[in-house]
Amino acid sequence: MVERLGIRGRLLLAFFGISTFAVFATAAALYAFLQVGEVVDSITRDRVPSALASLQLSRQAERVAATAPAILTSTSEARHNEVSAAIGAEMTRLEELLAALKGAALDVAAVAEIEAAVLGLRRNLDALDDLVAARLSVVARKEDLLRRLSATTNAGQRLVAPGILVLNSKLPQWQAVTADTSRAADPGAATAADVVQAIAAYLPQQKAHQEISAVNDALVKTADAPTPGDLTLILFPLRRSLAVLETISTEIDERLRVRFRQRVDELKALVDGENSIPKAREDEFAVLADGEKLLAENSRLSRSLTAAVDRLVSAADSEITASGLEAALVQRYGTGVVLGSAFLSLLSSVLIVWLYVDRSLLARLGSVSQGMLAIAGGNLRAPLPAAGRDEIGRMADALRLFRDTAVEIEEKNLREVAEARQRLVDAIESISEGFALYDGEDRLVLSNSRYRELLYSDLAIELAPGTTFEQIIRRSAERGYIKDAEGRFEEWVAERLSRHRNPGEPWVQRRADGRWIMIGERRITGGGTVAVYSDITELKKREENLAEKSAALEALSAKLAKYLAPQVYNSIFTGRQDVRIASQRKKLTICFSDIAGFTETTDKMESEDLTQLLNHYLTEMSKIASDHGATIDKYVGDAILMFFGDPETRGVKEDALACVEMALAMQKRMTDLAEIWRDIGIETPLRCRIGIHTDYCTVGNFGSEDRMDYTIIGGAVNLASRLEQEAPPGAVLISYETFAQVKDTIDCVELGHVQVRGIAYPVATYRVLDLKANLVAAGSAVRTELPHLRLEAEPELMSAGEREEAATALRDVLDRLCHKPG
Amino acid sequence: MFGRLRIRGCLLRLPLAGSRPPRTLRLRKGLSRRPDWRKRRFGGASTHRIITVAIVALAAAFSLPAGAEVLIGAAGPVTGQLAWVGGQMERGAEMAVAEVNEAGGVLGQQVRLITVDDFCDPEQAMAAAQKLVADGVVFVVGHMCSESSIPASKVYEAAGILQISPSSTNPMLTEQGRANVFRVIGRDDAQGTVAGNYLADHWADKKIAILHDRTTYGKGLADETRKQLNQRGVTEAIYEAYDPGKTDYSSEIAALEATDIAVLYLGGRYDAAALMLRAAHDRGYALQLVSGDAMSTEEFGLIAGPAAEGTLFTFVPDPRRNPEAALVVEQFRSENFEPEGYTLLSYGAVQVWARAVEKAGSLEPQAVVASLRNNQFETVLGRIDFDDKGDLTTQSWVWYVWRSGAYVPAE
Repeated sequence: MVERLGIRGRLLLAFFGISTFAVFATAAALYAFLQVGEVVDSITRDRVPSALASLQLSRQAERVAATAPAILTSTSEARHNEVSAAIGAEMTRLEELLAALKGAALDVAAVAEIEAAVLGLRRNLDALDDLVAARLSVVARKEDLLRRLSATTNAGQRLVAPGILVLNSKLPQWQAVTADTSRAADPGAATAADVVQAIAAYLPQQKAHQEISAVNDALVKTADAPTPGDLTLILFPLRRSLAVLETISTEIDERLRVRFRQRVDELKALVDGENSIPKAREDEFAVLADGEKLLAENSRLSRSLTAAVDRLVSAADSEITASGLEAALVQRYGTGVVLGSAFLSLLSSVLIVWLYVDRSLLARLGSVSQGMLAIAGGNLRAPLPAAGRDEIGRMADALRLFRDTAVEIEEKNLREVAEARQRLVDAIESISEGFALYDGEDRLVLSNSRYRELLYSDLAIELAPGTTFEQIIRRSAERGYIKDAEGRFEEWVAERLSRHRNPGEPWVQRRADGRWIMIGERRITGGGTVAVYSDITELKKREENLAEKSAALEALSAKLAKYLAPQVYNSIFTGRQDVRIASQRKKLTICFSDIAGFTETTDKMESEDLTQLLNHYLTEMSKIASDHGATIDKYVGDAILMFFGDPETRGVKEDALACVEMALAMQKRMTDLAEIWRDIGIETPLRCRIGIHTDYCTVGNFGSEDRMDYTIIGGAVNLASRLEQEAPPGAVLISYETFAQVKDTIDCVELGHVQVRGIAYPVATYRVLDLKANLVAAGSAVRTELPHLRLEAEPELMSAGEREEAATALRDVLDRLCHKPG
Repeated sequence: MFGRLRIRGCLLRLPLAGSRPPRTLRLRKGLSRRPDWRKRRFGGASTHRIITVAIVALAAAFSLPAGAEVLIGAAGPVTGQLAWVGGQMERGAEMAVAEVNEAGGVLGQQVRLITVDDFCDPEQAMAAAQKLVADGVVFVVGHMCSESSIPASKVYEAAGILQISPSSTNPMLTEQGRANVFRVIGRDDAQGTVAGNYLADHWADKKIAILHDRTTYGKGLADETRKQLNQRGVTEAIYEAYDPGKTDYSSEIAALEATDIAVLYLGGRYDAAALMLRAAHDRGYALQLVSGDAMSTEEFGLIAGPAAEGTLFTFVPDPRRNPEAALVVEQFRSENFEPEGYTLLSYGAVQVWARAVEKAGSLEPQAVVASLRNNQFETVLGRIDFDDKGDLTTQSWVWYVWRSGAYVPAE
């Protein structure tokens, strides 16, 4: 019958069983708690209030008893009222608490006792209050009497004061009189008698003064006498003093007698009778004694009250203890029941789960799950549980079906994979490059036979799949296949590995056998590397050949360049100008220079020295010329032909200016060179003549097809040459055309006209002085050069000190020149 | 005249009326505005007493706490050398307070007097004043001596307490510009002028000596007199100081006798004056003593004895002769106390304060001061009117002479 329920039904049945046991346990616990709650409730409702009220009452009674003495110590009306009100409030609170207790307490007899004690306390406190009021009035009366005593004493003393003053004033006289007696007997005696009489008249007042003070002191003492016995002791001397004062009142100055008598009577009244200070103190003693009695009674009542309350409290206490025990008992039972039912509930759950759920459900589910896991893990031959009629049995059926299908699919897949692999291998084998595939860990996965053939024809190098890239290259380097690795084995391996791991552009590797291999490496998705190797040895050889030829050509052209003007060379070699016979007309500035009297100067020189001198001179001049951008056309012995404006021009004006500046620079350099040459033995300085002319010329390549010359031709060249010949040594002569171009910048002097062959008119010539800027700066520079004298001075540039020095030097020279020796 | 008679009538009726006389009514009679209920005062003694009691009770219930006391102080030399003068102040002030309380107090509150002793010493006076301030008094009668009144007035001003002196005559007291200070006696600049004129009128041809005791009062008075005397063209033969508190002045008197002095003007207290006269009398040297208000005490006669005869001094017109004071004087005499000297001045000081408070309707010092300045008061001293400084608007000094143990008006 259970079988028919299925898994769902059986599980529901099991849960229902467990829940039933849990409900039983909860009900038992609830019952136990209710029981405990009832007991605790009865304690809080019935017993605690009465105990609390009793305790409060007891405390309040103690407080009242403690406050009561304060009332007796109060010395003023205000303080008394304050304390009295405070005690009244405490009493009222006590009575309220008593009323509350009556409602709550169970012990009627104890409550009645407490009530009686509280009533007694109230009566007693009222009596005490009255007593204190009485005491305050007595104290007030006493103080009033003391004030009267003070006033009377003052008044009495005042009455006798004049007499005492007079007495005091007599004393010095008396002394004087006594002193006089020794000298003059009769008049002195008479005076002394007077004095004695006067003193006798005032003596009673002196005595009265003392007695009044005595009475005052005694009465003040009386007011604070510590015991009633002291009072009677003090009274005796008081009465005697009064008797003395009465006697004095009959003897005193009659003007004062009545008033004195009055004061004595007042004092008497303060000493004796109903309104005397001793009587007031006595009354105070009586009141204090009554007060002490009442206080004692008070504390007795308070004690009995506290005792009664204590009994009540202890009764309540014991009841609370009993109830507590009862509650604890119920609680223990309740705890037992709860624990028992909880245990039973747990036990039943365990039994149900173990005997029923585990055996008939979980075990079978486990075997199905194991079968599933085995299939998922690829083991298609694992045993499966037997089929059945319930859910688990059906699950096992389905699983078996699923396994059969899986086996079929697996076999089909294996076949397809083998075919695809074979096709891939064929494809790789068919290409002419070497091919290798490395996985993410740099192990060789696949390579074609071309790879081995190309790189590792040596069979000693293992190229089985799984060999790491590093192993392969190490072995090939060890066997000396790699040219780069010779002598730097480890370094090369590191380089190669880093290149392999971060591949870039294809690169070329040189093998020891002279071959060049181009290697292209690529990372592929999934973390592997594909490498393609091709043999480029032929290509490489051709490239090297070409490079050699090119170097030879470069060397050749460098040698040739020296025979050409740099500008010409540049324009030919950069291809701007063709090397062919062609010319054009352009406005150029032509410059001619040579050394005056070169032949005469150099005649006596040896050929070697001459060559050196000439080369030195030409090198220096050529350097200045090329610095200024001149095109050097040719050297003719010591003469140089240069022009500006081709192949590059900066404009006619700028070309002319550059040319003149260059000529000036040359002349200046010549001055410096003269120094150097003098040192090496050329006595007469070489001096340069320069002629410049600006005009249209034909410029270009002239010559035959075999040999050409880049030069200029035209009348302008002749004119320049003529100007040079006309120029004084060391000077620069320019034509008007040039002068017109440079006159703004250069200072010139007109020299005159020259007749030039081939030109019909005479040509105006100008001698160049210097740049205007230099002239301004140099000012009146002094330059003189004579045999045994050279003078260069630039006064404008000198400081005051320098001028002074120069002047001294010149003066010295002048002196020596003018005053010839002898 | 009519008003005075009525007051007198009421006072006379007092002892006869027995318990609880309607004093309040008597006091309120002075008011110009009379409440409606007052018109029924002739309706019958019992009705009017009930109404009075009711009004007093109402006033007490609404305005002030029942049973509260107003404290006032009296400060003077209650004991010591000037104890008789202090006694005058004490008795005068006590009597005045008793009269005020019997009439229902001020503003329905009973007045209590606290007497302090200042020994006429400046430092003691400051201490006494501070004690009164601490006790919480609202008004002080005193002090008596100028050397006490002047320092104490500073303490009272700081505490906001009203001060009325019955006997301090030095001008400085009211010249300090303190709003709380008043006096019911004249000033020494006036007294000195009167004395100087008198000396010039009577003894211009005799040798006059002026002595003072260096105190504020004594030197102040002596200087004022000397100034007036000199203005009148008379120059004193001697102007010197003496030490108060000595018991024998024979040497001083001997010096005067040697210089042939006929008249001695003394700026000082009666004790020294009396001893000097005694010394002169003992030597048989007839010396005319002329002095100021301090001589107005019986003790002067008691000390000087027969030597007091003929001593002249200036003092305020004797208040004992005022008709307003007759009843009070009678009361004092019935208690064997002669209200001479400053007794009635002290009485008047309390009286004028009580009236000022009633008029102000408040105990606030400012209100009472304003009331004192703006009103005139009928007292045992006659009509009192204060000027802005706190001095009496009308002051007069008259001459008294000692005859057989008492002082009487001269001429």
